[in-house]
Amino acid sequence: MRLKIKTLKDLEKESGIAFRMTLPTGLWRVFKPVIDHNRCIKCGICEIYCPDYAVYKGKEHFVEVDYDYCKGCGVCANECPVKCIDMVRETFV
Amino acid sequence: MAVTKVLDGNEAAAQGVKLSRVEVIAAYPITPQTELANRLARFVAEGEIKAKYVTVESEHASMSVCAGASAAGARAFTASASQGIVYMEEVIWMVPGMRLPVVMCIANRSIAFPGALKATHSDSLLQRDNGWIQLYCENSQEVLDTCIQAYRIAEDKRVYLPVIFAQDGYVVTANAMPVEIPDQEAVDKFLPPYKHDFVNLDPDMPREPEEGPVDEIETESRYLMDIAMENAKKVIREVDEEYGKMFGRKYGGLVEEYRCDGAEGVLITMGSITGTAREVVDSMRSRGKNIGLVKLKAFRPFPTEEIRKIAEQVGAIGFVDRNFSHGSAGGGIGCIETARALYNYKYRPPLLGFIAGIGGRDVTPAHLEYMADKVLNAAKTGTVEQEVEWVQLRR
Amino acid sequence: MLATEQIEDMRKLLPSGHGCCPGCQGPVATKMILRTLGRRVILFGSGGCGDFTPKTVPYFGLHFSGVGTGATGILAALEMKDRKDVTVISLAGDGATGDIGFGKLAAIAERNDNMIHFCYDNEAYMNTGIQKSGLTPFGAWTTTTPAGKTTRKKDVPMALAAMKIPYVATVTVAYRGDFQNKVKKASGIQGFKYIHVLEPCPTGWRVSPEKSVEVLRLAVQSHMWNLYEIENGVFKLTMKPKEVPVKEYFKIQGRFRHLKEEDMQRIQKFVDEDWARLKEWDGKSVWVGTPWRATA
Repeated sequence: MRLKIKTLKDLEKESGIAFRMTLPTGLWRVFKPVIDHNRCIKCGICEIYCPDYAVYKGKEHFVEVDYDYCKGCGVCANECPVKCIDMVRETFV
Repeated sequence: MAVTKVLDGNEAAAQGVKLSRVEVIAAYPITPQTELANRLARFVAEGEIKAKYVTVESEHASMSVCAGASAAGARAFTASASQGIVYMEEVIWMVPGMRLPVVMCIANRSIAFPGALKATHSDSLLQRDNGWIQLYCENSQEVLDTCIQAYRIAEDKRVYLPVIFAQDGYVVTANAMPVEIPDQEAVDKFLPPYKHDFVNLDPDMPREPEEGPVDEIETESRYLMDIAMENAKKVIREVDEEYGKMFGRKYGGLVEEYRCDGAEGVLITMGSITGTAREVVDSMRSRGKNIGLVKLKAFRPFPTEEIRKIAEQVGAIGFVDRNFSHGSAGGGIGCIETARALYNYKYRPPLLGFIAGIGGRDVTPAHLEYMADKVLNAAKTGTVEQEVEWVQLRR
Repeated sequence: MLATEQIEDMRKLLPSGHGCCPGCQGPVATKMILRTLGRRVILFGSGGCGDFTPKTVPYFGLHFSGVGTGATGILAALEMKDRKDVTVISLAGDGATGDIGFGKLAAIAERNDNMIHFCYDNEAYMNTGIQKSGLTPFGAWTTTTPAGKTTRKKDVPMALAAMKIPYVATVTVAYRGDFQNKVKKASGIQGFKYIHVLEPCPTGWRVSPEKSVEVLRLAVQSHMWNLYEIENGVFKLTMKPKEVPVKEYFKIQGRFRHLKEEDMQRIQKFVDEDWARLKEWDGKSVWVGTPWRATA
């Protein structure tokens, strides 16, 4: 008996809705971190303490923020030794 | 070279485990299975089995250890009975869901309260919903053979479900009989090494990140397990055939019919009661009463097709249940399952439910003859006077 | 005997987009552990709320009450397959480790199975809704102790140290050098190693998410949590921080808001006594007698 069970990937394709484990957590935040790359001393502490890997070693700058997933918790800003990260009120315009 | 030794059920199971080249053993001692755990420890210490014997602190841990070992690629074995089974119930449910081919020996024993140290099938029948295959053994020889067959069935690519092989506490576990122990080389040909197709905890295997919330897969997973259980029927029959060809002993697949030709009525038994029942059938046949015997070896998957074929030929069926289900629709668990198997079928002979052997109470030939007479009576009259009868009540 | 093959892309290992609360330090602890231990790791169990289990390292989880015993099975299988290059670690929350699974851990300690067990201690059953666990500190608000917990925190590291396992350590995410040193030291020891990680739950501790790491620093500085290691029975304090009164620690957490002045003084007394006792023990053996173990 040939069995065709729909896997999650099939359901995704059919319905167009993502059944993903990666939730769009960028939509959670109220404040977003903005890094002043001129004052950044490249210590990497913000990257270590981000629970979501939303602050990561980037290509253009030493650390960049992935705004798709950043939840706006503010740990990076609080831990930065030179306080070069500002938490700015999010505006969805 | 096959040798014949006098072994009881526990020792036969230990020999079966040794021949199956099990790699991880974790069994917590509980009467009536303690000798099995002890014997396996001896084998490992003396080097007869090359395995890791983990001395666990509870049955819950023993099944967890077997699940972890099986996922990491080793053949695992555990054994338990009544209270231990109920204590490890949480982990028992996880193993078929993860499709891990663990094999467990249950030495049937009543579950408290009141409980007893002797046989009732409640502890193994408790697992009838969660996806474990269940095979019942009549004597020590069958225990040894079933242990080896169990790994072959569990690790079959069409199945990948864990297997329970059950033996009645004390009646089979502690009664010795001559048992032929097959040759290790022959068993190696019959049972290839364990390699799981899709579960392997190995950092070197490339893996993709899993996606999808777990709640969403429950229905489909359970459906696929249903299909695996259906496949298991075919696999059990095939394995039994092959074992019979290689080692000379067949058990009929899912059921064994004994002197059912021309039988007006049949008794269905599970486990050690079958041994006594064979004698009773012979004796009654010699006196002209046409009773037959059906031994139900596999309770899961339930042999619906075989039961239906038997129903075509006989006038009445009596199921001897060594278990109980308080408040059920009528009778013990076996009787209810048989009823469902026959409900929509065109041949539906009268079905009598007997409850006997609870708490290990000895099912004597007299009791079996009484039940057989009731069945033959029902076959003659076509009606059932009493649907469920507790046969051994002391009045 | 550990192959620290580094993980090239940590982002793929612990991808973003999990459902943990903003500021939760559980994923950070897992990051630090895997950074130190490398790629050849099999994980058993899931720490705490469990949503941050890594996706590309082999992971096996049973129900949380079977703390660590599945890892024993995995170790047995690896031994039979003669694989010596894989590390097995077990993660569990404080409820699983200290309450429901304590018996299992005690048995693993007795068997001295070769794994590291990490307890992700956020001081309550957070995932089911902030209910009290044995490891909730004295006076804390939880949904099942709304007037404040009336018993002290269960001392699981010391209990396991009494069972004479080769290595016990307490760490926290805020002191990451200390954390990584201890993980590295543990990975080089044979036998059962236990590392107890204090991590905050911003939701359950009622602390603002950006102060998640700061509250841990205050915990250590106020001696509500002390960082030590017990290697082969010898106790060693690894952090003697600049000291701060417990009031500072309680101030930024909502779960201690109801504490009155006399409660805080009582707690300060406990904490001072404990710290004095630990300073006495520093450098000494805390085992009763020496363990007789077969050579590893």
